[in-house]
Amino acid sequence: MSAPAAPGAASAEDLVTLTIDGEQVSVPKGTLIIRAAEMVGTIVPRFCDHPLLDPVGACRQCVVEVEGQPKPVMSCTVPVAEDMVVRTHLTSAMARRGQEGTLELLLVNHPLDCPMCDKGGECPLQDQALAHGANQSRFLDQKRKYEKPVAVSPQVLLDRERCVLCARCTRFSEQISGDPFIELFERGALEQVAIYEDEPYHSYFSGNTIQICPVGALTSTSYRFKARSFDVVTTPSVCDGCSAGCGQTVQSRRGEVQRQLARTNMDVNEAWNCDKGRFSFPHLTHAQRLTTPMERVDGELVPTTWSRALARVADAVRASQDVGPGRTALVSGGRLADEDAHVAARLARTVLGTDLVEHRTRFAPADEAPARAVLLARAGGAPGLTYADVEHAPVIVVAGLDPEEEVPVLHLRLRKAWRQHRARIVVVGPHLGTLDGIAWRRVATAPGAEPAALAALAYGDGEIAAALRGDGAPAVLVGERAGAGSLAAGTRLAEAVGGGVAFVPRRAGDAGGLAAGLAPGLLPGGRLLADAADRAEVEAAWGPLPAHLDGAAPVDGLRGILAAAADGAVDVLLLAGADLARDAQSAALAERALARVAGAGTVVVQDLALTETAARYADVVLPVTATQERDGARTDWEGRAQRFRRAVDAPELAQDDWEAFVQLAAVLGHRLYGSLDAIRAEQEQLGVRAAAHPLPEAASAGSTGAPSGDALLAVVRPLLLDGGTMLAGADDLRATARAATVGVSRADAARLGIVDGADVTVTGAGGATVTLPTAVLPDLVPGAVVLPRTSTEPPVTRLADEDGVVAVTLAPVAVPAEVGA
Amino acid sequence: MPIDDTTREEARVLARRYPVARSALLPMLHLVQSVDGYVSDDGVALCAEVLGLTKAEVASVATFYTMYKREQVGDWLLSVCTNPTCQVAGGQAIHDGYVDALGGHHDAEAGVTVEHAECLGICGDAPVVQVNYEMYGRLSQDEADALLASCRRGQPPASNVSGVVPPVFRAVERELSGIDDGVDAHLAPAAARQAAAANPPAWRSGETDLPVTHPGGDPAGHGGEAFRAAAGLEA
Amino acid sequence: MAATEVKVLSARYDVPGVDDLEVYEQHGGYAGLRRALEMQPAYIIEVVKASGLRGRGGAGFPTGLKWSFVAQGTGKPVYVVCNADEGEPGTFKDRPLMERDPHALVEGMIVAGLALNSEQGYIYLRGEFAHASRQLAKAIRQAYAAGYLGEDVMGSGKRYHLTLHRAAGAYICGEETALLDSLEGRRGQPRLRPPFPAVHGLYGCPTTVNNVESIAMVPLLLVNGAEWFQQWGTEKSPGTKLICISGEVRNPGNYEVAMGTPISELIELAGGMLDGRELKFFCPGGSSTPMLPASMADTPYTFEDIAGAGSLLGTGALMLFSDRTSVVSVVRRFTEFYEHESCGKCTPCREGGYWASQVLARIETGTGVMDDLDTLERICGSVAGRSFCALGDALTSPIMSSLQYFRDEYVEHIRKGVSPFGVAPQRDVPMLDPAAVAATARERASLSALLSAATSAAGDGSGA
Repeated sequence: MSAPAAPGAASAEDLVTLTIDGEQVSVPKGTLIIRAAEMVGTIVPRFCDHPLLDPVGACRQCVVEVEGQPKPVMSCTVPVAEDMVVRTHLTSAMARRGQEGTLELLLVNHPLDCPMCDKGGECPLQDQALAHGANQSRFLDQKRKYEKPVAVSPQVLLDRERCVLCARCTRFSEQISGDPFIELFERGALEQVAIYEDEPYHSYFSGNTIQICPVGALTSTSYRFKARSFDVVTTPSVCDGCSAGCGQTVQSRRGEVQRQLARTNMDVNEAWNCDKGRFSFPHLTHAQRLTTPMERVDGELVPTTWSRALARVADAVRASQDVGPGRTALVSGGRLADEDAHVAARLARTVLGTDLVEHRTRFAPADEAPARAVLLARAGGAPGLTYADVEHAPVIVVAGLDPEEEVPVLHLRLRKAWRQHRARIVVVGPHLGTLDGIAWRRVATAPGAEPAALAALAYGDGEIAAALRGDGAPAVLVGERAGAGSLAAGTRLAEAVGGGVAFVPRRAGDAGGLAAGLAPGLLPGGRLLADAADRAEVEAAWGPLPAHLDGAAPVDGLRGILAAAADGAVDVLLLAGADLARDAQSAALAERALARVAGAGTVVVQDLALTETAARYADVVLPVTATQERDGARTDWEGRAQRFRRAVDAPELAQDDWEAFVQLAAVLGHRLYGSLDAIRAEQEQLGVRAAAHPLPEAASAGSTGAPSGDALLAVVRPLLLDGGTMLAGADDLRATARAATVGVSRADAARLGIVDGADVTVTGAGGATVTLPTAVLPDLVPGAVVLPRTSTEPPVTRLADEDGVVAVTLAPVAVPAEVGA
Repeated sequence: MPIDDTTREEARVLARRYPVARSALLPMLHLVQSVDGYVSDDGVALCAEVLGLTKAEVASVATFYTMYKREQVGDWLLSVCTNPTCQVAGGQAIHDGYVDALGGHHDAEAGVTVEHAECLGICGDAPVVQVNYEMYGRLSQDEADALLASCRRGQPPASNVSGVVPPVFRAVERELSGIDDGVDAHLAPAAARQAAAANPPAWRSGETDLPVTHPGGDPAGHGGEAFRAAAGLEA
Repeated sequence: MAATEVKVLSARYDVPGVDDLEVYEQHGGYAGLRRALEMQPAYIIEVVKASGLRGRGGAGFPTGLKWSFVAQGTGKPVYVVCNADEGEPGTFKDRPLMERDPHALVEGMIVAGLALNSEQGYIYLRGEFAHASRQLAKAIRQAYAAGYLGEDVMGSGKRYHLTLHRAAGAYICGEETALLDSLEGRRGQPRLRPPFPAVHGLYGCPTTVNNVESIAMVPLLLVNGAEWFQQWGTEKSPGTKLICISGEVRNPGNYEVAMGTPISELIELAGGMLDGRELKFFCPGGSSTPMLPASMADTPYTFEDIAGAGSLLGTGALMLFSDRTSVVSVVRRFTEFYEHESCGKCTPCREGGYWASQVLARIETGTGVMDDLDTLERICGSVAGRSFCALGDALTSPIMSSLQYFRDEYVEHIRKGVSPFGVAPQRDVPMLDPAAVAATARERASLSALLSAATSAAGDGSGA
């Protein structure tokens, strides 16, 4: 009942006509009175009601009068009926009295600490006490007193005295995010929100409870006592934490971000966001933040000017071009805005004259980018499969994706599909990950062997295949860890069952990078470098592409670029937001490449913070602006492009990534774009390829062959809260991170004598090790382990061989014998 | 005897008694009290583990009901009704006398705990004191004092209502858990059949028609135990 | 004139050993079940309807009608739940029945199951009833052994299982939807209605929730017929009723009488008021029913007559108080009871009880002010009709009715600054004491402890 009406206009027989305060209104059947009142512009006061939570009727504030009913009616729990006559507090003395009475009771135990409460100024209780409350309370007696505040997690604080027990937070945690670590304890007047003492509210979505709290009971450690809602400047924005595309509100004061909130966008994130999006802004002002260009002089990075820095890069590029064409490379890391990626793609092809471009720090299967280009062109530049499609899909197939860790808000939509629409979620892959609690069936495969399973679902006759062929359009979601050929197989599956398919990358700039053609062999808009017609369309906008790009076989993504660099075939390596030393799928190959280029050529790092790559290898470091500090647009996993606006000023010398690219081009004698609008105009003019290319043929089965001997093949999964630079300074947020573990199957645990929770040493390529506690996973296929990507020191990327494959051996850490006294 | 694998197995027996395992939470908390004498941290963890709940969910339930104790109760729990009928007949005086005699609500040494109770459903025999939920009615102040004294000696008399000599607190909690009811051979298969029905009981019947579910899983086939069984994930 | 008892439900109370199956059978036990097995389920419901039996749990809703609402043929299991969570102050009729004649309830549950095409019943028993628990568990064991319960009830091919479920101390669980949540292993907080349990009850399945006395009466109805039942009482309140007489009378206790007996005769039945005491006021149906002054003692004990007098028959719990007893004190105790038993879900009941009990405590102990009487009325006005369930209304009824009939006594308390009946004892656990709150609430991790633990976890390099 709390769900908004299904998409599509309701037909006349689904409408109910009623009268609210004398005004006639027709609303869909099943609409609650409180929602119907909103439609005629009347906001009935409420505390417990939230349109995205199940009705509960606890606070009793939303009293209205319904003709023919002797008792007051709670408008948040009663659906409309034909010819119902409703009178709200605007026209009914009974309703007004009811609301005043409830308000008086709510204030019995509410402290009058508004002047020091963070909620002051944006508090529904305060607003209603002002609007409808009595001037004086008759309450002479004693209020409840509690210790304050209680930390329900390192970033969420609870002042129980202020709580009106509307249960929004506990209902959110149960109904929406599914991690009820906060609950109502006790009963009666002592009822209170609480955690169990040794199980804090570690949820990726805990910040939402603060935002929906109708009083100042839940506050965040990062915003507490920092600002007033009426003293902050509010700017609508879009989160850059992942490819979810959540609407976000940035609130700043004196040029500093004070807090970030979820901005309601029912098409995308509804009213929610994740804690990473909400609380990660301290990195903007962290000590590691780059504020000035730097160059390496005598082995040390020293501050310099933009003109000197760019001149040094330009000199290096010219020198490289003197050696031969295509000896520069440009790698971005998934942070870039769509416009940045577009400029980077053009810079690389037309100015640097290279196809050594990549927007992914992972070693993606060779067919992934071409297959995504096909989906992009098929969708015609509009979103393909959408959140709404996923929500209403009767069956959802998920392969190579762990939504809660990678695209958290998509996880919430999957939960909604499961909870409200009984969607059947089918997980294809070596383990269930965080879909554990909501999966319907699993198709177990070895890591990388997903395509065969997807193909089998398309043509099989089992229970899952039957469900896929039932009513409604299924959704197929393919993630970054699905093996080579998965996207093509998933697309064919979707075609076979009349459903939709989407590739769900993790990083916010991934879809934009792909759309810009920032990958070997690709051009903007789903076009291919090898296709003459595609080339011609792009050349019409960009001017002629260098002849040597014509007909050259594209390299194998980042792996190919790094291999070339390690072999001395790259003189200049431009890294925009790519901390390859840490993030590249194979740290070993990345280090070799970086060392080679840093030694014989030039490494340029353009980033927000002084990353490990910058500190160790960069010859030139360029400071750039963050999302909150600039205008731009990003495309989410659906293919939905959304613009964001500058909320705060950047450090004085930082420039937007696209500006840095344009200036480098200018120094090299090319005039690219004068403004964001010029870039956007060209993006629009180029659009996407009118007719999609055919899907790439299935590659030969999984490139990740079975490891030899005792080795176990690792599924390397990023955790939402890891060691990433965009989490720098957000200590409270990082304190809620999930523990890094090595997931081991039951069979392997038994074979190796490893018990759940015990520390093991994980040894990878070249003898690199990390030591982690074990999590024995009943849902993991034998022969595989699950490792976090960059949550450990050293990161697991150090355990990969040069192909990016992580094959490991496990050894229990010997517990040191008790030392006698 | 702390909570161990025997308790865990008994908790599982209780869970199998219902088509939806969570129904066993109240009996399970009684079982925990029969072992630890109160709802201990280990007990909360046990319930959470067996039922697939968070500890907060278990504690949320445990703190709602007055029979679940936060601290060790000794062998003898004396509940004194002080509602109007008993109050008029001297219930409050009995309660206050007990507290004076013990110097508080607990006599750890004798293993006696005294609590105020709301109506015990035996107003015709006011004033009433329960010893481990066994009724003693129509008590004079002297009789009431003697009852306390007998408990402190560890030898309460037979109830003048039921004729039963109350067992010690942990024993009566074991009775209340129902673990020894002796009809599991009937109830467990019946519950399993209901749970496996084509249109089975929902995990959460909820407050609305919305199918409300739970991370611990829905026996209707989503996640959780049924899923694990179907997927062959349970050893 | 003292009324005479009509022992129908309580007929076997004094039969030695009737809690054993054999004796129970010798005294007509399981005859109702045999009759039921000869009937179509719908016919059983028709008999119950025709008898006019009204629910004995407080609301007085016709039992047969309630059963006819239970959704059939939905493909979901149907559940029969017995509400044995007796706990309303003044009420003590279900517990004696379960202790003395437990098979009567077991038999009634099986019959109810047959009537509703249910294969599973639950007895939700108040946890504090250790002896009733023992007796019912034994009866169920015996019924299984004798084939009355199980996969093949008395060879009929029908199955019926019965689970005894002990609760854990919460009066609110007598509210049927709170009971269902509690039976599902949750906090006993009431649910929104609609959907009603008859359609969407236990585990989302069609469910009926009936009181012990109602269910135990059904086998007798089947054996004797609907007309037999109507020989007692009135058209709107037929039959006999177990009445709980308590308070300041000589022989308080459980009496089964024909409906319609005047209250004054019930008092005589209980031996009259204690020596030297005169009836001052009474609660006709338990603490939640508005109290009435002695002048209304001639009211016949029926649903309709008591309603006409401005109160309710409730559970049939007649509580009698004399001129020696302070109305304020009794009302304060009732209010404290409702404060203690409020589930906390809705604002009016949670905060209203908290506030009103403080005001009443002040009035009784001599620190009340005249405005307090208006305040009490105002609190009740904000609670009555606006709370989530009837517990809020129950909270207000002693307060409002006592102010209606005994306002002068409140005024006297306030004027004198002391209780005319002597200083009232203090409640043993003051609700407001922060120390008491800390002791009852589980110790919670402090901010600094949590933060330092989290920081050290983040700093060791393996996590975070």
